[in-house]
Formats: sequence, structure tokens, C-alpha cells
Amino acid sequence: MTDKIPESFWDVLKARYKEMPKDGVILIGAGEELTKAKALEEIEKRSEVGELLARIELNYVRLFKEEAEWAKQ
Amino acid sequence: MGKTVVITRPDFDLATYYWKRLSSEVITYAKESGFEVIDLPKEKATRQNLERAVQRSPNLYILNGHGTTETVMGQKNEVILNSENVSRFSGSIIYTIACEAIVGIGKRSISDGVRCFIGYKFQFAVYSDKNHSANPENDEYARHFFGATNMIPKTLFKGNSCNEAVERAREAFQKSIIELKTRTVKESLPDNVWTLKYLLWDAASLHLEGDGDSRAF
Repeated sequence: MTDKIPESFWDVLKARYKEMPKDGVILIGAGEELTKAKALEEIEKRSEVGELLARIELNYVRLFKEEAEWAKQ
Repeated sequence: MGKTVVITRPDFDLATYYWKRLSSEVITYAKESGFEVIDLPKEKATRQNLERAVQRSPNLYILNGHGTTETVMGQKNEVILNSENVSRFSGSIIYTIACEAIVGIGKRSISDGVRCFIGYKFQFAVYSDKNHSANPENDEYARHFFGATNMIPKTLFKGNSCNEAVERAREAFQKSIIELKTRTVKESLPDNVWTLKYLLWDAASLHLEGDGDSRAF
């Protein structure tokens, strides 16, 4: 996964994580526990964890692209 | 063929606590199915204990805990599997939830004689509910992840192949994905969407190296 995260996507990502439920905690197998605040911090820093969150979000967005393709058939 | 399985269950942060609690059903399942289980929880999840367990020629290793592309870790992130000891596991099947381990050490283990290595190409991530952090079994979101991942050892215990184990896990992921997509439409619970995002990620990440037709038992 070496594709660069589009510059414009970071703001989208931040906006989405501002909507993360307050009781949600993301457990990442590398040892990170991300509350909403921590996730937003990592996104702001564009850290390795922030990049991971961006890739997870991009993977999710792809789901809708695939469904749009099905709708065309 | 013997019927011995080793399972490491470190427990020193919230993630490993979740992995430890939610993999206990695998132990119960194995014991009820007549398998000998070498359980290495918490402080017992060490390199020394794992290497000692190898002497009992287990068929299957289930390694919980954190990881990197080149390591699988145990308690307090002690490296329990890496290039220095992987050859000891020759002839066995390894399944690990450790992030990215399949990419490096997993792939390498095959040339060191491991029959099949099942793991996750990217960082394994779980969306959880902090209100159930003391009792992960009651975490409605986390159950989707472990309902799928636990299918791998449970399918192997039934004598099925590694390919079948991965397929059953993918089906379980897909079932949860469809359930969450449907509930997201019907209900306005945002947690469904967040669980779905991480479930999709883990489902895409599940991978196998080596002989997919091999069976642990």
C-alpha cells in the first residue's frame, strides 16, 4: 500500500472522524487504542497511524464505487 | 496425526485483552473437540514457552498478539517468532492475528518448512465499544470481527484445509458486512458504519501463504 493519500482527502477524513461516536475505540493490532480525540490527533499529524486511517476510509469508499458499478449493469 | 494446538494469548493492553478474551471460545471449542491445548496466556506468552511447546510437535499454532512484517510478539511485545526461530515450526500450520506478519516472516516461514501460514497483510483493526471494554464478549461491534477470525481455527479443528478455513472466515466477514450494511440503512446508528469500515479492511487483508490444501488435523 504505497499509493499516496490524495491531499484533498485529509480534510474529508478529518470531517468524517469528527462524526465518530464518542464511545467508539479503534483497537489496532500494532498496539494503538484510538479514541475519537486520538484518531483526530493522528490525522492532524498525518502520522503513520493517520495514514492507516486514511487507507481504511479509502477502502470503505471503494465499496460504494463497486456498488455503483453493479447498478450500471 | 496428533491433535495438539498451541495458542498464545498475551494480555497487556486493551487490544491484547480483547484478543485474549475473545479467543477463549476457540480454546473451549478445541477442548470439547478432543484436542490437547497448550494455552500460553499473559505472562506465559513468551518466546521460551513457545519454543518449549514446539518440542511437543503441535500441529497448529494460533498466535495472538501484536506483530510487524518480520515478527510475531507475545507478552509485553517480546518477539516470540522471527527469522531466528521460525525453522523450529517446520511441518506445522500457523495462524496469527499479528499485524502484517504474513508479509515478511509468514512468507519466509514457508521456505523454512511451515506448511501454511494464515494472517493479515495489513494492520488488523477492530472497532469496539468502550462501554464493554471490561467484558469484550458483550461488545456488539467487536463480535463481528472475532466471529469471523475465530472461524479459521474452528474450521481447521474440523479437519478442513487452510483454504477452506480462510474461505469460511471470508464468508463470516461477508455475512457481518451484509448485516451491517442492511442495519445502516434501517437504523441510524453510526456505530454500524464505523464497524463496517474496519470489518471491510480486515476482510480484504486476510491472506494465506504456503500449501492451502494442507490440513492441521
